[in-house]
Amino acid sequence: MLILSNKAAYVTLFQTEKGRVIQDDHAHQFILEFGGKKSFFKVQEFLQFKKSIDNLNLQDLFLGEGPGVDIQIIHHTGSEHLFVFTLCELIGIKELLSGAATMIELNRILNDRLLSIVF
Amino acid sequence: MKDLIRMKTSLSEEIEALLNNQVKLEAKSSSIYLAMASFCDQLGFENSSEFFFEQAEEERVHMLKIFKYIGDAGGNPVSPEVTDIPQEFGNFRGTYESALEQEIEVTKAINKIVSAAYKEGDHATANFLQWFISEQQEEEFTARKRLELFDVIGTDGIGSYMIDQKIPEIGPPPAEPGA
Ligand SMILES: [Fe+2]
Ligand SMILES: [Fe+2]
Repeated sequence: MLILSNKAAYVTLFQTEKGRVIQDDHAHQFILEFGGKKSFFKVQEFLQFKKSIDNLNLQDLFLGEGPGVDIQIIHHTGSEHLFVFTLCELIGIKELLSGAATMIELNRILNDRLLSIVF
Repeated sequence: MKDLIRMKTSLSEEIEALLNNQVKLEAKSSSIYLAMASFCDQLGFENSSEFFFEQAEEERVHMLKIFKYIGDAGGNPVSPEVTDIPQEFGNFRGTYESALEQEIEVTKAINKIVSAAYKEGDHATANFLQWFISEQQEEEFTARKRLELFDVIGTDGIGSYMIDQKIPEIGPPPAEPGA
């Protein structure tokens, strides 16, 4: 659940059986826990990471043939993140990220409508 | 809970994507104008060639303007990949027709972003784009004026040559008195 108070440093944005996404208000970062691994993302990195995952067409990947199609490598220059996902993991990560994105958007609306000093 | 994304950038994902798309469109315009400059040069129309060359440079400036705005707003500007540039435009008149059509497309794209910006309450982006609205108004006006030369003078005999001579004279509409 979302915590509106500014005091909570860590808020779990979204959680599934596979992992979770946490927002760290103090360090201004997002933390992804997935497959037993913890990764830290600056805001811009997180947005880019989500974009690259969204840009992958899962259906194409499923129907694709040949070696390597069942493994996807996600990497961004300028960040230390390098992920190797199987198709199965990709589905899990996609679900996780879209859930987190929805909560981020909801939080934005709450900030705009309820917490803002401008009404 | 802080709104971390808003603290990082004032652009929504949608507006950032639309602006990056515009960066690409301006870059593409620049490349097409360059192709038009080459095409007119081959046909022997020096003034037109020079005119399109200058347009190409202008469009690049437009691209950089938007590119910088995205970055200044905390967003992530993307250096555009420009492909499928036509290298010929039928004939002399066809080139100016394509130029007008291209400007109309750019106007439509700008309008779309402004509408999206207002819808989201992103007045900074809407305000930033006001300059482009005026610019497009002027670009369409002058593009039509150039095309009118073809109707007024015609391309028979030395007509095409005369049109090319007239091209540098076409300018923006005179400012309204008191404006
Ligand atoms: Fe332009
Ligand atoms: Fe233009």
